Amino acid sequence: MTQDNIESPQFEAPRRAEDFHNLTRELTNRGLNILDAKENAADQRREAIQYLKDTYNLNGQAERVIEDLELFHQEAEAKKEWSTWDYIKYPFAKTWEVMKAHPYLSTAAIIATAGAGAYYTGALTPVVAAVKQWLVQLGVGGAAEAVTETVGAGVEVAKDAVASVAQGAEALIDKVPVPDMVPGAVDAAAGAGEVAAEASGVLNPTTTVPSIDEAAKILDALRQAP
Amino acid sequence: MTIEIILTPAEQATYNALQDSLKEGWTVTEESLNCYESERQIVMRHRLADFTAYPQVAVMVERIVSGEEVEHISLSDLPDGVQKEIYFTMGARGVNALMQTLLKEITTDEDVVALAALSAARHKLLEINSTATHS
Repeated sequence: MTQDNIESPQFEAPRRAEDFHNLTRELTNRGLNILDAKENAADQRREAIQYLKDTYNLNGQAERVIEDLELFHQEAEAKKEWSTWDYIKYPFAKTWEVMKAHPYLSTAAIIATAGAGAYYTGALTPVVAAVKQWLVQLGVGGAAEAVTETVGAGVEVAKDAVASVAQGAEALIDKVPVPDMVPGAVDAAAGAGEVAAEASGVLNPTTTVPSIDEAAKILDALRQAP
Repeated sequence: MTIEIILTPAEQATYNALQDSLKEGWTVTEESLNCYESERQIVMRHRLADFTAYPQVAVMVERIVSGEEVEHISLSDLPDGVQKEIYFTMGARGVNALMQTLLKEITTDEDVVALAALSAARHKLLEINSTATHS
């Protein structure tokens, strides 16, 4: 066995808050405080990267791990600040009722909660697959791409079901009229569709919706995250 | 109760087109912050998500995982308190997207109340983001 073949301890990239705290503790125990804001912060950071490279053989990834750790602590601080916000001063109970009354907002809120909840419970893959399939059926949120990505990711969805949903999505896309480029005309047309959709309680499949598009984009980002 | 709505100039143009009765009693101030999160930040916020206080979220996820269609899930299955965790997790960009959707659909006084609440949440998130050094 050569020196190169000696196995390094296995390193699992931090994923949950607890993992980041554990890594921070491990570095701190070795005198490496990457959150140190003092003059030697850059040295500490460099040494922490070197420690990860040496200990876990993370040649190409050590810097990224430290960047993630820094981002984690920044966002944890941001969350602390958010938690002290005087939330109850605002009418969020009423806001929730309003969201229930608007199909697009309800859909976006359900997707966002399902995505966050799935990440929280560790069930991301099946939940993303199910939500994407739902979006395809609704014809919103980058639906056509979702079918390809879902199949490509090897998610266990019955091929026949996906194929039929994909055909449905294509049919919906075929029906989308070529947008009139006169300023305001597209919004007006979309608005009319939304009013009709609102009245029927059904989502309009030919409309792009900021809240649903954003929720779909975040699901993709979550799925691609390590 | 809040009487302020914080809107960007572009949003104000849409808001101003609403009928006067809907705007009555509200003061519009300008949203000048623009520190929206990167996708990396949003992913990290998902890693920080904690629904311990809302077991209904885990129940919803379990229903989906066990094969129930998402279309059968209703927002009524979730308590309104979950919003605080969700808004931080989706970030100012997610709340902004909700506002953009709502702005085009406002027809009632309650809709305006919701717009005001969401604008306050977005503003607070943008304020928090403005001190960020990593994205």
